[in-house]
Order: sequence, then C-alpha cells, then structure tokens
Amino acid sequence: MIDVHALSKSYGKLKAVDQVSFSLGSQQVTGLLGPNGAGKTTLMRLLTGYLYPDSGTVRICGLDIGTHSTQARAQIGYVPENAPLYPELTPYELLEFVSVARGHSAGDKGSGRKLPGRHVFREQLELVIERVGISEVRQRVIGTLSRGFKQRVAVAAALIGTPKVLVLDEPTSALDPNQTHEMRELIRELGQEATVIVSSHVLSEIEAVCRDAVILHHGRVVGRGDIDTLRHDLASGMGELIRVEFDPPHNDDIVVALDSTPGIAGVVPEHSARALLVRLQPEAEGPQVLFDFASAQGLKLKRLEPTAGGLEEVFRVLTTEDRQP
Amino acid sequence: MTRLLALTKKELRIHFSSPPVFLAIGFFLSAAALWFFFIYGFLARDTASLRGYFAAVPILMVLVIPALTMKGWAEEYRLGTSELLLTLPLRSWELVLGKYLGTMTVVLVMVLLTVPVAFLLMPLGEFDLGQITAEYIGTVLLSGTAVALGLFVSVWCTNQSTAFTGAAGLLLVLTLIGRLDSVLSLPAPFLAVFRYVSLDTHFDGFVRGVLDVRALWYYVWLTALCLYVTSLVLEARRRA
Repeated sequence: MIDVHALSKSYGKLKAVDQVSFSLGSQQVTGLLGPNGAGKTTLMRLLTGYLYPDSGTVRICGLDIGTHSTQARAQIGYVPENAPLYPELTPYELLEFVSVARGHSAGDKGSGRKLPGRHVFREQLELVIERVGISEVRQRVIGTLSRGFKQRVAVAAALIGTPKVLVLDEPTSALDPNQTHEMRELIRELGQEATVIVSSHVLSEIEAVCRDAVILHHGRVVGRGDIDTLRHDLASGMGELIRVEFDPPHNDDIVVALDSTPGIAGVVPEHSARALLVRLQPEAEGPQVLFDFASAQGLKLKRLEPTAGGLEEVFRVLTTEDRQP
Repeated sequence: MTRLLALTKKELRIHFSSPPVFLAIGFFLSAAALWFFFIYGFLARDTASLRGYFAAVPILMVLVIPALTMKGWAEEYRLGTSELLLTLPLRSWELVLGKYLGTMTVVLVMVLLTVPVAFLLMPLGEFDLGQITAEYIGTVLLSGTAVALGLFVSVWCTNQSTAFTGAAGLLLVLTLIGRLDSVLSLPAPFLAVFRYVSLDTHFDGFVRGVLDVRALWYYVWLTALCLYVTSLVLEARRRA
C-alpha cells in the first residue's frame, strides 16, 4: 500500500530524511517514532505529497507520488501536526469543501465517482461527523472551538472519501483522556479499513494502537517492524532487564553511580520516574550486582523484578546509539 | 469545474468573514467619493462625466488590492492550512485559479457598489453610457491584473504584512512608472518600455471611453502570466 524507497530530503545542509526505505501493507496501523528533529514531520509531508523529495520514491497504492501526484493524493487522508484548519469556516463547510475537492459531490460527472444524489452526499458527511463526534459543533465557526474539537474536525476531514491511506501526525495531542480513548478506538477501527501511519511522542500511545513501528533518528530508519519483535531483537544478545525501585527513591547521582557500576549495561528511568529499568551485562551474575550496589549506597531494595522492557526502552536505546536495524 | 467552484466558495467565505476586507471596501468607496466630490470638484464642473471618478481608481487599487490579497497564500503558510490544501487531490492551477476567482468576486462586489453613484448622478446631465461602460471594463481588467500580482507576491510570503507591503510596492511602481517622463528626462526607448509596462497607462484609454484591444490584451496576458508563475512557485515551494 505504501512503498518508500531511498527517500531523501535536505534543508540546506541538514539532511532531514536520509535514504529512508520501508513498505507497509494494507489494513495495518504503524507508529512513526523518533525524537524531536528526527525527521518524522518531513517524512509525513513527503508521504502525503506536500513536499517533493530530493531523491527516492514514494508509491501510494502503486502510484508514484512524484509522477502521479494528484491521483496518489486522492488515496490519502492527512491530519497535519497541530491540526491546522480555516478558523472562519464551520466544520460542516470545511468537510463539504474537502469532500468536493476529493471528487465527491452530488451529480459531479467530471469526478468519475458519481453519487446518486445530494442526499447521499450529505449522508456520507453526516456519517463522518457522527463517527468523530463533532455533531454538536458542526455549525459553529472553527475559530471558536476547543483544541480537542479542532483535532477531531481535522480527523473528520482526513476521513472524507474513505481514503486507503491515513497519515495522522499526533492525532491525540489535544484530547482529554476520554477523547483520547475514543480516538484510539477509532484508529484501531480505521486500521481494519486502511493503512494508517500514526506519529506520536507518547510511546504508550503507539503501543496502544500500533502493532508495527518505524523508528527514525537523524533522518534515518534505525528500527522497524513488529513492536514485540523489536523488543525481542533488542533484548537478544543482551543481559537481563530488571525493574528496580530503591528506598529512599533514586536521584540523578544514584542513576549515574549505578550506570557506571561493573556488570550494568545501562540504566533508564521509567516513565513513571519511580522505578529504574536496569539492563545487566550478559556476563553479570543475576541481580547480585544490584544487591551489592544497594548495600554499598545504603539503600533498601523496595522492588526488584525481571521485565521484558517496553517500547520506551527500545526507543531510547535506538535513538541514543548509532545503531542500524 | 466543481472543484474550482468549491475553492472559490471557500475563499469567498473566508474573505467575507474577515474585517480587513470590509475595511478595504469601505476605504475604496469613501476615498473615491471624497476625491470625486470634494477634491476633483465634480459638482462645480459643468461636465457630465465620471472620468474624474475613475481616474482615481489605479492609485486607490495600490492600497485596496494588497489588503484583499495579503491573506491569500501567506496566511495559508502561516496557519499551516497549506498542508491541508496542498495535500488534497487538486492541481496547482486549480488552487491558484480558485483563490484568484474568490478574490476577484470580492473585487467585483466592490466595483458593483460604485454603480449607485453613477445612477444617482445620471439625472444631472447627459452622461455617455458607452464611456461609463468602458470605464467599468477598464476597472475590472485593471483590478483583475492587480489581484493576480498581489497573489503572486503573497505566494512568496509567510506573513500578511510582508505580502501587503510587497504587493503595494509592486503595484505603486507599476502604476507610476508610466509617468516617469513628467519628472525625469529619459531616452525615448526607455520611456516607451516604461509606458508599456505601466498599469496606469493602459487604463487611460478606458477612462476616456476607448476600448483599446492592445490594452485589453496587456491586462489579460499579464494576469495569465502572474497566475501561471504563481502556480510554478507553489510547485517550487514543495521542493524547497
């Protein structure tokens, strides 16, 4: 459904996207991860045809976005970062415009996608409005809406015409927890119908909705594939991963001291910041090294348990070392 | 065609939700009337002609058209809505033409609002309807070219004030360049080129009631050229 081959894009001397290649099949949700400045937004702009690459190709449903730009773009629904919208229009006016621009209008013979009548056209708009939950604000001017509603209007615009590829840049960034839950459900649902790429800084978000991930660092792909496989590949050849919680809780000095302790391969504070994820070196003898460390530092071990590690650790390892997949 | 109409409708909706557009229209109508009745002194003259009214149009357009075109592309890039617009399955020429037609519709509304002035003055004398028609045709052609130039400037900018200043500067130069001979003594070939390039020079004929095909052709090709180059710039920005 999406084929990216040797894609590169530079801004002056800065290589924003550097020789990126990957393929995504139909009906899957893929997370696009990377630290700030990794090239995620540039890559999304290249995938949607907003920018043209310096070299390389993007094929959407077999259509080269360089040579068949308009036809390829007709297959894509895109929610840009921060969901930019026309503040003067109402959601309904915007969706109506996007719908016609995508060739869906009552009795439009030129579009090649003739619909039976105006009521069907309106019915399709209503379905999208209903699906993203913006019925109550459909006739309000977008400039007066909350960020959450604006985000949902942008998603609705991307869904118009049931595109085969959906590119969503931070789709839940402005939503409250209930809306986030609903949006995740919607993304999972959409993954049954289309190829969905979701970019997010919130790793738990990616883990919640995506089965696969593409990890970017300095414009290059440093990891891609099934998230579980990424975790497994990272762990193979490495020592055990242990979640540790000290009493009193750790501080920066303890993290630095632990990181430089023989037998420890790396230390990553967990997202909650209460526990530490400690990767032992393969030759280290179990958790004894941690008992010794706690004893030497005068700390109590409040919690100590082996763990498989999360996407956060995969992300941090891949984007802090010069690794290739 | 349906897509073009949708783009035009969207532009119109945005224009008529924007206070600066109403201010620009109000400024044009009141400045033209002030000039005509109080400075030009129409009522004190014993002439049944709107020539004085339309003579002010080129210089007024220098300020009014940039106020209408400054949002054009600059605001799309500033707000980020360019990402929404340029990823829709629309061709560059459709985007450029849709924006142009939207702004031109506003200009036509503004020009139509001057018609009551002409109607109110009709009972005062024997006006030449042919001349008035030519003056209106000239006004539409001149403003059409000015809108294309304003949007051409806007596509290079990412904020409205730069787009306004750039367009006003360009229109001012293109309006006054034909009158350089009154302040500078330049070689005749230069003056001929400047007169040909000037927006104002070609408008003179229409004000006098002359429908000059060369002037008409000048406005049409310059408009088409600006729209074409704007679509090229739009494509070039995708490569930037």
